[in-house]
Amino acid sequence: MSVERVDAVVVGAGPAGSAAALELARAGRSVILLERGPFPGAKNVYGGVVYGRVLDEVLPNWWEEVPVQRWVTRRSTMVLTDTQALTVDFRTQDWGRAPHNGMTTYRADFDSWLAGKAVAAGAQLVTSTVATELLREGGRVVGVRTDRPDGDIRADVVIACDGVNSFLAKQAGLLPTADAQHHTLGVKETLALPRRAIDERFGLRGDDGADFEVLGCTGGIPGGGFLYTNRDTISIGVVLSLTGLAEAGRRPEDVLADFKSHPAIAPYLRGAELKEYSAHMIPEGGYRSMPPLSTDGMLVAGDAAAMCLAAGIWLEGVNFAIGSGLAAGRAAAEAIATGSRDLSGYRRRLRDNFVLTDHENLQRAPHLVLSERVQRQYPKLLCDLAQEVFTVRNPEPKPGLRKLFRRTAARHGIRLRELAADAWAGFRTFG
Amino acid sequence: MTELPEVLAVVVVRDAALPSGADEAIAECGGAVLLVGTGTRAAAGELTAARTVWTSEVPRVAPGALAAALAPVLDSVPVVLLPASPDGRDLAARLAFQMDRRLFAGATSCTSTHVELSRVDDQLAVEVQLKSPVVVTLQPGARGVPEPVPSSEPVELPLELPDDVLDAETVQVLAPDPETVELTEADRILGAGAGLVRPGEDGTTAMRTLTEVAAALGASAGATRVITDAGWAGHDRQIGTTGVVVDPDLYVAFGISGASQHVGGLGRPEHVISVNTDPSCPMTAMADLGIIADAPAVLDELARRLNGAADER
Amino acid sequence: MQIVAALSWSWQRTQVDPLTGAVTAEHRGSNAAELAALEHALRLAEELDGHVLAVTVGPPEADEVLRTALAAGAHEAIRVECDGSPDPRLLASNGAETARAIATALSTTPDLVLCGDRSSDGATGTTPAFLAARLGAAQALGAVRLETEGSKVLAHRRLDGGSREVLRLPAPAVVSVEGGTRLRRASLPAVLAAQNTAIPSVPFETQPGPAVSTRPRRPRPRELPPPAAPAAHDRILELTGALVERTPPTIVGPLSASEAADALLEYLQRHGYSTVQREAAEQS
Ligand SMILES: Cc1cc2nc3c(=O)[nH]c(=O)nc-3n(C[C@H](O)[C@H](O)[C@H](O)COP(=O)(O)OP(=O)(O)OC[C@H]3O[C@@H](n4cnc5c(N)ncnc54)[C@H](O)[C@@H]3O)c2cc1C
Ligand SMILES: Cc1cc2nc3c(=O)[nH]c(=O)nc-3n(C[C@H](O)[C@H](O)[C@H](O)COP(=O)(O)OP(=O)(O)OC[C@H]3O[C@@H](n4cnc5c(N)ncnc54)[C@H](O)[C@@H]3O)c2cc1C
Ligand SMILES: Nc1ncnc2c1ncn2[C@@H]1O[C@H](COP(=O)(O)O)[C@@H](O)[C@H]1O
Repeated sequence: MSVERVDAVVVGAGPAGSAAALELARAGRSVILLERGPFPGAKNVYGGVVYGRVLDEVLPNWWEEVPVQRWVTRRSTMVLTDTQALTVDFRTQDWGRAPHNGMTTYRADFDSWLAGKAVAAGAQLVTSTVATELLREGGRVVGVRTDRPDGDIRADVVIACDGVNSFLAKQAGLLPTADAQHHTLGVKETLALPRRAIDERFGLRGDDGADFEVLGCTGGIPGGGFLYTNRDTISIGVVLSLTGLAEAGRRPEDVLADFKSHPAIAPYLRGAELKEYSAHMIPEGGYRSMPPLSTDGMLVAGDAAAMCLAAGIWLEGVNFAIGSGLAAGRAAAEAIATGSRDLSGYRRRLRDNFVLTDHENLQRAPHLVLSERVQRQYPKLLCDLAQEVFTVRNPEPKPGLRKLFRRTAARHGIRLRELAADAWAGFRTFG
Repeated sequence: MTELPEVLAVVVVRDAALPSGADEAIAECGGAVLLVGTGTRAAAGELTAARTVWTSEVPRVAPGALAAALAPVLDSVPVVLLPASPDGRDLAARLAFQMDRRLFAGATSCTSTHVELSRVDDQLAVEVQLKSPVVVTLQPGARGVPEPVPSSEPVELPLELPDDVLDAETVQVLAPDPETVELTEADRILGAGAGLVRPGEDGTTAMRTLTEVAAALGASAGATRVITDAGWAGHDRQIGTTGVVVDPDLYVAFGISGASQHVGGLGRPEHVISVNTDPSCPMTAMADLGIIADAPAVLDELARRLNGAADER
Repeated sequence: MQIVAALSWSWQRTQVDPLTGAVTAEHRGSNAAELAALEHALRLAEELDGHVLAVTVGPPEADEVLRTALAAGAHEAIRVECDGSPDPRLLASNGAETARAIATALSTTPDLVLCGDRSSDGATGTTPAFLAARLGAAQALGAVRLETEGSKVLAHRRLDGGSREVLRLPAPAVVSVEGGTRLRRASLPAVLAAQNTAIPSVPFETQPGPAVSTRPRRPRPRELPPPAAPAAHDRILELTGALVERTPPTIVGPLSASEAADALLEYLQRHGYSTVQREAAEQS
């Protein structure tokens, strides 16, 4: 039986894996990139927005060739109750120009493109192939077994980028502590709508795109919703706490259906045709639920290492996956070059760039955003407050804002002390 | 002998048996047909749409040799139309090559000036204006068979098969195998289409469940080509113009879009039920009962109920 | 024995806008039937000591299917340079052109050419017969089974009404096969080696297809036999179907699985299709 030997093997050609393979190949290392789908991105699910600046250091002028649907120039944060909606709407044409901010893109296109970069740099991409097992010698990881005949690959470093619930990380014993393990379920639909209708309804022009993040649209189940525009489709979805879902005894597709029929959302979707429904887990625990990031001979990156930043108004996984993939690739290349088994460069690089820094700074965010008050009470409070402010009750005189505020808060059983505490927590979390 | 007309159906006959779509092709040509093959005289008597019949009796059905022999005979016929049956499709391309003509395969209608073709799994109609002589194959089931017309006495058109053309040698013709017979003779059929298999899943499980549910309903299980091509069901299970032609009383279609190549093999069921997520697909449009629902889930539910009942016995 | 496997690089998912008839396509590659053809080619080569050449007509990206073929065990691969976007003109009649293109890649006449019985976008299944005509080969279209008899290949193909014809193939012969036979899984070293193989290509000049117009397909209205009744009044009744008892077609839903099962079983019951469920209920 012949065994392939390479410097490094990367499992999973998602954004994390392709970034890692790209760095290794650029450093002149032989690297195999394994992907179980028929092509990169074939089965990968996400909402739809990628923050591309992470690519600056890998590819100058990446925006000229990335397979973009639209550049996000409008960002709305919405707070919904059953009958109300309060929106903070922001738009800037600056994001429509290079280097841009967010873009909507399809995973099949984006993942294939990024993997193509790795291949062009010299990585060997092997699709329709599943890594089934780690190969070990003593405690050390020395390669992976795949489901192909003669499918063992030996490598100095294995980088696991196999996504949320990483099978390889589990096998290597790199597990988050059980109680900190925290996943949400994302469900998403892609709806087809003529480009012109999207432009009109969302007030867009040319390649401009919109990104809506929504709170209070999940029927009391901790989570949130999103709505993004592609060229001629719309991505809409909800992210739901698994335990909350189980407690409510509801099916995720029903929660999404309710969201879609909300009076503030439905007009955007009228006449749109369902193209695709998908569901996927998201590691949402943030910093606190991250497993150890390496073991002897192996690194973990992307969702496999719970790198996804999911905290309310942020849902950024792809850029964190790329950031951690690049760091893993560089650290591995460095270790291989010096013949050392020291992979600690990985954590150092993560800390030096945005990946761990953001996570550390925002480590309380998931907890806060998913808290009872933020999920159930504040949306109602804010919407009622807005309604009070804007309702004209002549001949009654207008109450002062402060009075309205007290009254509304009291009606919702929220004490100002709690509000102040959450505001402080919010400030410390996001500030 | 009358001259051959501008539009002529060419129908390959084996042992006096007519292929599917023969009368439709003939009707499309205004009743003019050349029967070629073995047992052509007897087959002529079976036709219902023919007004003018020529027959060319030859010792064997072999596309290469037939094309070589027919090409000069048909030279004066601008539009040669064959039913898209196995033998018709076999011969059509050979004829077109031999006669240096374009072949328009899979037409749904054909006149002396235009053909309409069905493409992209029957979703797209492509219309072509005819500017030069052509060979066309007509999709069985697309036209429908008209009322019988009286036919004249066939005229024999002698044909000499050349012996320097290479053809495969027929070793034997096998009667329909029992599996197929079971399906062709079934009164009730449950059909599986692409929509019965969730993306990325292995359809053999769905087929197994369908077969169980069918058994519980005293029915047989059939499938569309998407299912048989994927290897999830044997080829004997494929219903359609290139598969088995069936004629049940009841047809329940699970996740089938209703492409003409499929429906062309369906006969005239008295009751049709379509379970599909798309309310406007042709299968649902032609159904007596269209159920808009997720086919895999409905099948599982039926299995649960019917097998549950079976277990109680 | 020289065996050729013809693999298309066709659009695997083509959609037609039901209103405008605009065609959009995604994903190019070979379909199940073509991969089955390749598998048959490899098996026959093993059995009859053959050499398999994989051919595709397509743009440089089409090398991908040839690499798949090499990884699975094809000995050689060649591509005929040609790019076809999903052009309706090509949809009308491209079998003859594709056959001509494939023939340019063959320096000698092979003993056996294996094709899929239809590609996913052209989908007329005419390429193999044109290729046979061009090569002066015998043909067997739509084979569902292949077997060997000594050094000869036997092909089982469908005829009408479920019967089958067994053909003994001379050389050269072109066979098209239906899908259903799965391509073997290539070993990892073979996949890697195939990626590093340079694939030769030959140029080809396509001739344009005929001018066409396209629209979404609607079933053709069927001709009905003229009414037979002697009196005009009765003929009108017959034509309009008035007074004929029938159940109007109904569409229900969207329904949940259990509602759908209820509707379905209720319909069957109403129309006298007794089910085992009912029999079971009666027996108990
Ligand atoms: C509903 C939803 C919405 C989201 N929205 C956004 C968003 O808008 N913006 C954003 O930035 N992020 C979003 N995310 C998060 C984002 O999708 C992930 O964080 C990101 O994809 C992680 O990348 P990755 O490379 O680590 O893993 P993945 O993208 O999951 O890739 C893992 C890859 O590994 C392969 N693989 C797995 N196991 C094996 C194996 N054993 N052998 C071989 N290959 C294997 C898989 O096929 C896959 O290609 C969203 C997620 C969800 C579920
Ligand atoms: C020369 C030639 C000969 C052919 N011969 C035959 C033949 O003999 N027999 C044959 O069958 N085909 C034949 N075909 C193929 C035919 O054109 C169609 O491609 C095929 O019949 C389509 O099969 P389908 O309905 O299963 O798949 P599709 O057309 O893909 O339809 C799937 C259907 O499932 C529905 N659906 C999707 N998801 C769900 C869900 N979750 N629940 C419920 N419904 C769902 C969709 O709305 C759609 O209507 C032939 C084609 C050619 C070109
Ligand atoms: N572009 C192509 N390259 C190689 N083979 C092809 C190509 N197109 C069609 N074929 C072969 O011809 C068969 C029938 O295709 P078609 O006539 O397009 O339905 C396919 O299954 C292939 O085996």
